[in-house]
Amino acid sequence: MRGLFKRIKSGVSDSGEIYEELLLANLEALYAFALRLTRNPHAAEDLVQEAALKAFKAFGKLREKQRFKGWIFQILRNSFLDQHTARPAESLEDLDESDLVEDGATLLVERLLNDEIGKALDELPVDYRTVVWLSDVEGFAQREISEILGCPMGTVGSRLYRGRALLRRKLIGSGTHRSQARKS
Amino acid sequence: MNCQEAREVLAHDFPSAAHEQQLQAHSHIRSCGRCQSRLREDTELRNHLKGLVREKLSTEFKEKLFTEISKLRWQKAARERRIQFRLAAAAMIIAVLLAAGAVWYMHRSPSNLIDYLVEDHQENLPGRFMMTSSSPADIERWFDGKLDFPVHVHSVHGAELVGARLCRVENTRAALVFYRCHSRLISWFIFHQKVPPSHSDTAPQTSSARGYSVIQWNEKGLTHAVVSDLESGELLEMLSLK
Repeated sequence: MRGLFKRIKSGVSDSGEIYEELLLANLEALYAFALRLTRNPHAAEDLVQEAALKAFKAFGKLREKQRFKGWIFQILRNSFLDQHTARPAESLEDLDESDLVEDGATLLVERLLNDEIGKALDELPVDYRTVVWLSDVEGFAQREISEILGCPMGTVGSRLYRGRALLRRKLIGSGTHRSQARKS
Repeated sequence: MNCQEAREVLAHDFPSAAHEQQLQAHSHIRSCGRCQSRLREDTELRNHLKGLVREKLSTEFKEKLFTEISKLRWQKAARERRIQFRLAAAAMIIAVLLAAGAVWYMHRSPSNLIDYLVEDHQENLPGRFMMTSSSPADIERWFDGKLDFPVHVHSVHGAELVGARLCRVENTRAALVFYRCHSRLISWFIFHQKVPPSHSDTAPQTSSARGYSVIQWNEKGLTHAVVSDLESGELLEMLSLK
């Protein structure tokens, strides 16, 4: 990737070629994010295709090519919002605060299965799911997440805290179910 | 600060590490065993999340996507080529027009100038003189400062100096000196030489228009043109140019 950015700076590469290389380097991450948003593989593919074509058309306007990943994630997220404006939003204000309260249970992370984590993540309200995914899986800084989502950094921090707490609670719940199932 | 507050504060990225709330939260965590073990679990969970196996895109989809992008690239390149071609064509047309204009200007028919001089001469009635004098020195003084070249008033054999005025020849200020020979007016125009260097010879050229004789020559970067209804031969003799 560093070599690619050097070529961009020196201006020797064709912008279409650069775009394809950058897209390819981030395509799987983009799809995984789309899948977290849509929870449906076909819808996620459609979303990735829409975002990739939109991004190609706007690529010339992206001055700092190093920001490509955050930029295309933002496009994908906006495309998702465009497709889902008719759907009633999951209200975060109605979130039961008791979900966040410490219950004394211990989360045995090493016993967790990938599927369980994926399922628990998918059960989070979309705004929490998005923030937790972007921060803890994709490794974006909160400043970058606030740019992608178009919301203040304080909101990102709060959603991250609540999203992680909810995820933890769901995972403890699923772990208990699994233990009970094993016992029976 | 209680456990929940401390953990929420630590979930935020603050611009400064020394943020007051963050310091309080750290202080709480240091003295709270439950929070410490909870943070350890959270860190483990985040590490687990980082290593989460992601669902892969099918090769078929990737091929389809990059085919679509290739089509867009091709369309974009074709559009850019069209724009470049149009710009080049427009630039070429402008260049051709400019060149044609320059050629026309350099080789324009002198008859246009002659017609103009004759027309100006025809309109010269005694009342239109700005300055009336038979003294060459007076007339030269009168032109002084009015033009960006010194005017030397010549004598014309057999004709008397009657006056002068300023005029415009091809959009530049020019001197016009009048002589009279047996009630026939002679107009002597002096202006900056307009013709290109290839035509900068000093030999007098004779032409006629609307029954008037025009004698024209260049001298020291100035064009002299004398117009009258006298015969051109007679006029040349009077000007001592024969």
